[in-house]
Amino acid sequence: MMRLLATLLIGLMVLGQMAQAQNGPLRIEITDGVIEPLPYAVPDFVAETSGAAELASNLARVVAEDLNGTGLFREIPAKAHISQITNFASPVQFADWKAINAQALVSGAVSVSGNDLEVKFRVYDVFAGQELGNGLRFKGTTEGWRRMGHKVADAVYSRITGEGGYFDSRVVFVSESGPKNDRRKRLAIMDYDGANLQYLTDSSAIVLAPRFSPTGDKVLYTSYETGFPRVFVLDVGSVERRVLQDQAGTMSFAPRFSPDGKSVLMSITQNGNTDIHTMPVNGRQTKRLTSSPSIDTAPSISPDGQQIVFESDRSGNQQLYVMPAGGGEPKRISFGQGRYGTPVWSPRGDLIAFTKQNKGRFHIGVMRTDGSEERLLTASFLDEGPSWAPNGRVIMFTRETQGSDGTAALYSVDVSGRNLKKVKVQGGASDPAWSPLQ
Amino acid sequence: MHIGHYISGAAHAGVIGWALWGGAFRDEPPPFEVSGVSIVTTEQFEAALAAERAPQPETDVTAPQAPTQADDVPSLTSQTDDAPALETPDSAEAPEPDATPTPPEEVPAPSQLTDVAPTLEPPSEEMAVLIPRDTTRPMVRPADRVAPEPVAPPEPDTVVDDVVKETTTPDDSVSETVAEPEEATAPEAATTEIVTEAKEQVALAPKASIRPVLRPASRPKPPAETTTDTPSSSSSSTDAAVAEALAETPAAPSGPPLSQGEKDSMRVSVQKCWVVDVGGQSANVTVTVGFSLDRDGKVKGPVTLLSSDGGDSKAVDTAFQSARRAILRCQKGGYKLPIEKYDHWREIEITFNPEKMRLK
Repeated sequence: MMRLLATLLIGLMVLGQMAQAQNGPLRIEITDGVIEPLPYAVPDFVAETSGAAELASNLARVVAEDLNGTGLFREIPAKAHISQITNFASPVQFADWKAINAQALVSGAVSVSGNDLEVKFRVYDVFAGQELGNGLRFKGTTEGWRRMGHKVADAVYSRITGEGGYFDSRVVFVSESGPKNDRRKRLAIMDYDGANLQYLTDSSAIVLAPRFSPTGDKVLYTSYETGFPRVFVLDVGSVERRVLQDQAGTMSFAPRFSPDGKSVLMSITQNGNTDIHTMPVNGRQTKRLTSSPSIDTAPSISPDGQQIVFESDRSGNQQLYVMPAGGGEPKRISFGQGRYGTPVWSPRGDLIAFTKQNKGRFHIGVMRTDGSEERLLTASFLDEGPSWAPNGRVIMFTRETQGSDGTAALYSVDVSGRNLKKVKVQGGASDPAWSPLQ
Repeated sequence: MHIGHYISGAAHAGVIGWALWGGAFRDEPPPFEVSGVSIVTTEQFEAALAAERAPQPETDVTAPQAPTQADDVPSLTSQTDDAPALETPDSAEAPEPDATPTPPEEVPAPSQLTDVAPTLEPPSEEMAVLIPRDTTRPMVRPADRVAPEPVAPPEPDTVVDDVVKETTTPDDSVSETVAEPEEATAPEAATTEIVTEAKEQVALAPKASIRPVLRPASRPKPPAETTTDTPSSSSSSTDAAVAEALAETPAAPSGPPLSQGEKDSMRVSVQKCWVVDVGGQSANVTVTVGFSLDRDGKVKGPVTLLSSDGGDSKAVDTAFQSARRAILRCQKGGYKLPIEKYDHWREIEITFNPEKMRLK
């Protein structure tokens, strides 16, 4: 008995020693971080040829404005810089940039030869003291300097966040002018940041809901120029257009390209019933995908081309449904309070953006493709018509203000709900559609 | 007694004598006035009243002159006013007719109205409160920073007062200059969650109170580590090199490990520099990184990725970069860890798990 007790006592002591000792490294788990813009520095690019100084400064500004506009980055102003980069090839003094808490550094150089423009840049992780990726060089013309700036910003964004950028993209939208009771609408196109505005149609007929093709060279839209809503397709380069669906006794609207750009989804109203159809871009034959006595509209196809999300009032009020791309039994995915509409599948394929109307207010929100994890990102008198940025990170939409003198404007918001801001557009604007990355 | 009878008899006799001889029983009547009265009939009395009320004719009022026609009649012209000229609208610019007003929604007859009791949302189990959920609360100050520990916005900047005050002159008797303490920069305001526009209208009362962090129990300091024997000066250089190499080799840690409080201190030091992009793909990645510290608590050598879970290679690389920045950025002068337990924190592995962050 005494021997057994002694054995137990010794065993406990050994176990205690083993527990007290720490084998291997100290292990810690962190589950709480911070959400804040990453401080970075982008000094003026180095002008390597005479006459390139202005472009060098302007290009750095375009890069900074693109990055700052995401809400993920915070530029450290030039007056706080300790080091000056005067030679693109010189080693970076990381200590000087650490001292001002710059976590990333973008350096660049510009050379101009006649009408040719060359831009090169590098991105550094300051605290790691190393470059992120390799240096990159773009060549173009001086007329396209803004676009080259967007290209550099896209590359910087991609190297720091690990995701594709969206700065070298365009937005087609409906430009609005005149009072609310006599509003003139026409298609317009601009850079994502509001620069280089151009008009694609005149204001002789009402136009609605433009949508880019996957390659960005064509635009689908709905026009009332024949007196009834009809789907048209427009070539962005030549501004030539043709009606896509003109079957007598029908109305067609809410078009959207398939991911391969070969076919078009749209709603067609015939004999008082609205269903979703598909048709080839270069063909005439339509195929009906839904067949309910309700209003089925606003189709959007998933990036893999396998599923379609659309809105329908078949349950009594407007809700979202998902069905196979070739048609089939739809499955309802929205079950919250209020009405849901204008669903758009994310380019990433993981989320669906939508418009929600509830208790007299409109929201832009996102949910998983099965309807779970619904999150409302905005709230106002009238928000509608979401459109995804090409990287699936930002949503642009229409916000209209209340009253007889209310105007429509474009807004954008990060998918996390942060960084809600108004897009700089001259005049009123609605129905934005983001192009793919150029 | 007889005196009273005499006085009474005398007084009575005096009164009787005054009445008899004083004139109280005189024959002549006192003088009075007489007025003449005439009797009239009712008709005569009414006629007399009517005569008093009748108006008296005025004789001094001048009669008005009749107006002459030539002074008052205006002159009339025979021409009529010109009708306003109506412009014929241009057919090309004809204004569009007003839009047909939308008929208002039919209001159902009272008989069709049904009272519907408002549905009350049952409170969740975690919200055992009696206050209504939609109570209007002060709005949260928007902040760009979301951190585990909220930080109140800093005090407003000092403004120049309108009243000019004289500056104080330094006292010459004080020869020693006192260095003023340097003011630390106020921490950036932060909230504990992302407040989207849609969330701003809801009640902002916290659903659960934050428990205070327990102070780590004070523990007796372990005995100081015994110094290792240094090689004697007479030993050869080879022996010295071997001894140095042995000293660099991490020995198995001995002694008490770091307390939970010391581990928490290290964790908090790193997590406040860990920036999570909650909307990015890297928020789906958990990475474990390893690194070494010198005795000053500074990172020695590279920070290496040991393992990852979730996401593609780009997302893993981004998550690793974020973790590495957090470790390197927050070390500053070195992490504050007990030097006597250096063997226990010489090598550190930290797992960065953003799963909780994604829900914010």
